[in-house]
Amino acid sequence: MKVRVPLMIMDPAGSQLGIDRLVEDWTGIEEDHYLDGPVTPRVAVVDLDPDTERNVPGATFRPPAGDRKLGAYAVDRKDFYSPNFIQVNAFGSVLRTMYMFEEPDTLGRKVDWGFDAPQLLVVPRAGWWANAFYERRSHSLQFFSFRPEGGAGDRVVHTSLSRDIVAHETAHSLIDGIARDLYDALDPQSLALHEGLADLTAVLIAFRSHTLCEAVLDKTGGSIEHSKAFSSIGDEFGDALNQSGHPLRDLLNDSTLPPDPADEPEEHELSLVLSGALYDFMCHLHAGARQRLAEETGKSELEVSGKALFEASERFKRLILRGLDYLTPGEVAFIDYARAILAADQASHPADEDRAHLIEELVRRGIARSPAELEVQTDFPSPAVAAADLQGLVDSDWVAYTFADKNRDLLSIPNYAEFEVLPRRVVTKQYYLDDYRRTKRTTPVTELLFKVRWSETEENPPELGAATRRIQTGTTLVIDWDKKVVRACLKPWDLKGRAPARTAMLRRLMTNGLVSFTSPAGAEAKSQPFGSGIDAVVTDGILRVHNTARLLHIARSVDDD
Amino acid sequence: MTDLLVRTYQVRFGDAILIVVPETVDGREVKRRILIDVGNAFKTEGGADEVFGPVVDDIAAMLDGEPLDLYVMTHEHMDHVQGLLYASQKLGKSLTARQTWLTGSSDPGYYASHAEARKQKIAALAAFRAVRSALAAVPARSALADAVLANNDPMSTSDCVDYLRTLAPHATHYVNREMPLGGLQPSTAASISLWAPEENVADYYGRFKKLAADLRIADDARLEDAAAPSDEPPDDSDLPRPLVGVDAGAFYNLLDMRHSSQASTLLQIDQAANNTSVVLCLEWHGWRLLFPGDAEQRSWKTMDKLGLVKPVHFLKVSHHGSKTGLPPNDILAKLLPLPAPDGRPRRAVVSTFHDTYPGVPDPPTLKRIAERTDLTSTMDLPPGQLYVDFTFPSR
Repeated sequence: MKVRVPLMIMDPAGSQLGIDRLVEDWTGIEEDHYLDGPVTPRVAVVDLDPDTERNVPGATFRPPAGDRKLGAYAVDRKDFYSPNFIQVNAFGSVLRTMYMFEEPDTLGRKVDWGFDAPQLLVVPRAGWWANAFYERRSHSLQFFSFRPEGGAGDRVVHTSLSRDIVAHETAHSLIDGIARDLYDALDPQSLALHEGLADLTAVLIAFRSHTLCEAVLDKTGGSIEHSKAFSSIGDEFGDALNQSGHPLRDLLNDSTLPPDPADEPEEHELSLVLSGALYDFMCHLHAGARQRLAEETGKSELEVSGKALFEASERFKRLILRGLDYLTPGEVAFIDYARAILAADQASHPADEDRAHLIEELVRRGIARSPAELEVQTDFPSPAVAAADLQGLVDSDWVAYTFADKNRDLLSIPNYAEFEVLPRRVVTKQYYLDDYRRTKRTTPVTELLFKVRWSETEENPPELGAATRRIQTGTTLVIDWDKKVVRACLKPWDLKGRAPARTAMLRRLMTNGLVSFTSPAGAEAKSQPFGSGIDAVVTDGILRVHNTARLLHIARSVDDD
Repeated sequence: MTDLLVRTYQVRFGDAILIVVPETVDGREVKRRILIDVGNAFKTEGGADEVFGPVVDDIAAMLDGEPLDLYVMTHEHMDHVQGLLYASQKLGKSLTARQTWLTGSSDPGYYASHAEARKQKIAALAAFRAVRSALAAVPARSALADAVLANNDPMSTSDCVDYLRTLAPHATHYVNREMPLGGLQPSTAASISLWAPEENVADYYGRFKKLAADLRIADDARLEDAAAPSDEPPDDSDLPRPLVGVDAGAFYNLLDMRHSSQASTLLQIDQAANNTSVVLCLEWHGWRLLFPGDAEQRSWKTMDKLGLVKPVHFLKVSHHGSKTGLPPNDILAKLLPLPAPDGRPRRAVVSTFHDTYPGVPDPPTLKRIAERTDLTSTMDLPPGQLYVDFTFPSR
């Protein structure tokens, strides 16, 4: 059964859209069943009074009846600030983001959560705070509310009413289900990757609003290169928080990486380097599509700009989200992600010319030192893969371990390393091959994602807990299931070179008192029940750190002083 | 001349420290007695009130019928202020003082004249109420959370502080580092200086500032309203429950995690108050003794920035041995340099108790102090031993 829900398409305050255009209906929800709340098997809204933490009645589900063919939730679509609207908007916005990840021409599967349970809890009014976050341990997205300093009257900003913020936090939960190791990474670029992709997900969701696209393109003459309408993240929130008139972040930027990894800024600011580079590529794709469609149709670029935006954003979506499947396990840097998205894209669009622009931009930003670092081999034969029993690799841990052990060279597993084969995944994705621009579909491609992970030990300043620390790393092998060739085999590009950045990150965490040391057995330390959630444990003189992604609230929440 | 004496009482999780300073007046030795704090925590074993009877009896015996020359209240937390009110009201045992020094921000008029600090204080009180309300919805919350709540309860502390104002009704002084102490020195032989708190305590709220900014505090909010008693806790029928179809285990886990976060806010409120501690440095015949109350790292950093931190011979360990009460490494090295600069013995004492306050005492913290000086813990005193003495000779 499909359900119709109203969704905010822009932040409610400060929008230049008329109030009647701030909400649009979305009819794409199709879950197994629906209950009041809204509650479904995969997403449940838990609305608690932010002052008393008592239950607030959830929106009532209305099944199809009479002429109404779609299910719905009882809600006044013009009363944005009513509890039921807030509940339903958050529910719909979360599902809309999930569905974008799960589409056949994105990941082509239902995404697992980063926790071992089927249901994500969404708390749309989690309390009074200018923030929002995803939290793996509590299986939840929590959206807070606040009254801006100097704000007029009783003005309240509910972060759950911001399309950008809900999409951003939902993206964190989805990325956690695809690339779980990022959650525990010590490399600031791993966390910044989480953050940057969450921002770009918000942009992609904005591109899906026909009303918004039409309004923006009309104003900009069909261009997105010089408009902040899509590139700005959290307009109302940023303005209310900083009293600056500026959004929380702007992806139209010129940020670059500092030469010394130890000098990298905190993860939110750092994320702008990657998201800025990728957003620049999105603008490039849109400009190219606009020009081509105008030439092909004889229409003006303004007239075709909407179609061009759809086409470019779909290509962009496939690029940035499919790269997650190709990402190596453990610690990753921007260059690892860059190589993953280029590999995923190259495997499906071997002759594409646009990638050169992206490569140039990644080098310009300092993410890679040269185009050569971004060269990836795709769609190549391997005797080991050709001889492998692919179904056996999927079904049997023993077969998978034996394969990995016999092929340490292919998988770059050091001889000394005891490795772990992660659960194998077979995924079927829609591809567009050479003709993607004309949206001609081809036979879906089935991939086997085979990932191995192992630990490395590196030096650690003794004052930061122990003289050595343990980090995770690994290799991703992607096999074309039907052709039995390697679509890509990716290993970390410069794990050792990133050590200074990890040390700087650890020092910052410890200086700010954000690390709670737990007992070696992994049990919570009884003496420190109120920690930040970032845990460290020292066993046999080796430090291990977990849950660093707890830093990834929508807004920075930590003083550095 | 007899030795200077520092007597640290075993009051479980709290402080009660008597300093007896000998000096010569008209060729005759007299003793000046300074009492720093008397209190312990609430609601736990570490807060047993029966300890106060013998402690106050001993102090009275040491006074030998005289009033205290100085009573110092370092900051407004129950584990530092409640003892004398309890002894007076419940045991009929009272002390008097020639003068009292109370931390500057406890002046009833303080927040009227310090707008930024007032805003932070109101925000802290509002956050306290919000956290208490939220924690009331937890059927089985941690006893540690109860202890922190009780220790920061403005209604309870205000009664105690009011009582302390009566010890020397005409000589109650609200002190800070910046005020001159010339005429207030209780002894001519000893010199007391204050390293903290600063006159403006707004900066002590530190990381809490950002949280405070998000709370709904109107510009004209009244401190009295914010400090009013919280609403009655709800009955069980109001407790949050999962809706039909919601994973019940995940729902209750979510509540637990949220409460842990709220408790974290509570600890930040706790730390802000700790940082208003009077940090008292007493110098006598070449000895330097430091009594920092519960000063936490933000206060230590301020003291260091002002160039106040010097090597000491005696340290009352801050905040009962918590990790956050320990000065940062570089400041600790200035306070207790290795090796000791003048070869005199160095000692430290921590007044603490197990399972009372979250993360306190912190064994690695105590280990780091013990690496630099002889450290005595009141937890190590044999049963029945009321105090531990430290003496400092005049030669």
